[in-house]
Amino acid sequence: MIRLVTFLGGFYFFLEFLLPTEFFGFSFAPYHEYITNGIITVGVAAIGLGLISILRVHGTRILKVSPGWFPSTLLLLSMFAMIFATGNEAILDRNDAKLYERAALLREFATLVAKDGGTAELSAEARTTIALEAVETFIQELPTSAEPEADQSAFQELVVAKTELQRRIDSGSRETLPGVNEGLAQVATALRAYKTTVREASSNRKVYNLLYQGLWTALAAAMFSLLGFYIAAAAYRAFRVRSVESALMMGAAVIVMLGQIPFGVWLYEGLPALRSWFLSVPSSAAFRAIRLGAGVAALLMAIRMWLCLDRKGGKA
Amino acid sequence: MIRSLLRFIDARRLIFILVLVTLSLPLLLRWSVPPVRMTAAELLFNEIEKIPTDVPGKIVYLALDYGPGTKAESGSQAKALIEHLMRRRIKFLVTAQVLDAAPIINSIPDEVAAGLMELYPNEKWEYGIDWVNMGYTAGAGLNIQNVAKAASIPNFFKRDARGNSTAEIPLFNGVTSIESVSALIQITAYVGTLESYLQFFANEKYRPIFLHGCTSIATPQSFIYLDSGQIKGLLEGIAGAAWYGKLLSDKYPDRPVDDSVVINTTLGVAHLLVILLIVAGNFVGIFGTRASKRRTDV
Repeated sequence: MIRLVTFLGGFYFFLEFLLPTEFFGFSFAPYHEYITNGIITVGVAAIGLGLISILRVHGTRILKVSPGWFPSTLLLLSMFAMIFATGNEAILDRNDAKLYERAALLREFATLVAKDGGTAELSAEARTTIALEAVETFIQELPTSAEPEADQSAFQELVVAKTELQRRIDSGSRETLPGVNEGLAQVATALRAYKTTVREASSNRKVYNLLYQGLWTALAAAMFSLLGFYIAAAAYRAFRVRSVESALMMGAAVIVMLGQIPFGVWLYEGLPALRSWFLSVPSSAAFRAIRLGAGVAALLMAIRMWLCLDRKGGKA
Repeated sequence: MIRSLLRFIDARRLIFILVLVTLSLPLLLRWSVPPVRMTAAELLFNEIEKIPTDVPGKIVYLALDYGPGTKAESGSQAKALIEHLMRRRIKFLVTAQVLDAAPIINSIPDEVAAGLMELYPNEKWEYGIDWVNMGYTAGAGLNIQNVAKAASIPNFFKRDARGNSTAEIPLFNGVTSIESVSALIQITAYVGTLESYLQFFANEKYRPIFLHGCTSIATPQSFIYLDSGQIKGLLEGIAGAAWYGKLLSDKYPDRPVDDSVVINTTLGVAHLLVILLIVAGNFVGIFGTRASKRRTDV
């Protein structure tokens, strides 16, 4: 069964890539997005498996108080803190977006009523009343007082936009709907500006910034920076000229390094051009050969996987 | 005391101290030396200059595929490029195929826009009008294929990273399929992400201009695509970003000096140290071996 599914999966992508967009009246296009989304979803499920694996390995270590239980505790704590902070950010984002979307839907409705008037079921006046009532309900759901830590001027702008929109509703008729539409746009803009300041000042954002900017960014950059120290130590201890090949390699490395730093031109003005030549001619030739070889190997591997020749105990 | 100190400072520790001093001093003193000319960065600059700004419904697709680890290089490139796009009023969509980049793609355009609005108080750069963040999208190559084949890019994404419906985002007015993308700019620190775009970000009729920024270490790999014409411009590490910044400063003289020049100078000093260490290592290697041989002979 696994072999059949693997083969069919590979065969689908093979045909999808090779065949023209329309082949004897058949097109892959309507199905392709669904199929690839399905595959992406399966791939994303691996994150869940990873979480389970981390919990099993490190959870067991903590429960048994085995060696390394303290780093494992830190790992799980960090993981849960990050999941909580980012998850909360996503929920807050979605809640804010729902408000903006409602404003957008109301605008669309107001535009439709202003343009088309009534329908067979509802008169123009009845639709206008429904639109205006919906806008009024929306206004009532907007913030009535400013959050203490938010930007007060942004809130004042929202109040002004709200008042103006209310005024337009109060004198509302079908003819004034374009004005209501405009007012809704102003309210949406002011609301977005105000909500942004609220979110920036929120405690969740502070926790998130601490975790991401304060810890993750700094730690990731520090890990990468350590390479600099090891490269310098390796340059002293391991980069020895013992043969013609290593001499050539060192010469090329020195030229490429000097060719891209600001001080290289102090020694010789032609160094940047020489560096470019090294990169575009000998280096590119070598890299093309490597990529070509790797490409052929990848193709062979893909064929072996497609035909399930790589199974444990399978004969290739 | 001195003897124990000397015993502590062996070659490896001395090298680490030297690297620390070499990297810290220029950064702390903000020492900047004009960067060296990078022709590949100039090609990229010229391509951005050629993008028309008066055609409605055209956007630039900006893929920032890097994490915090390469912030110094890739971040400087992203800032310079976004600044150029914003100054030219070229609308762009920003996205990422690596999860690490999700917060970066949200904050960098905001930072650049805030800097520009501080410099030009009478002008405005707004989210949703000048740029939009589509966030991290899973699926790498598969997802890129779907974007390229979508009849409507806004409908494909449906929502931006902040949860807004794409139908409500003014930037997308007139934007349809990949044919609305005038250029793809990809900045990455990960091997293989550029290849995904090169392979799949096109349809039968149209392929946007491809522009690329990579870390210094990945430059030789990226050069093959520049040489073949698959990418039309390239930013090579921090040196590329610094030269790009210089080109921007030439065009916009009121532009303040950016961090990339200082980082590039610092990295240049570190490169000099590495070259010196290679020479010193070989010197010690040759003469150290001879001396020990002589001792053995005696």
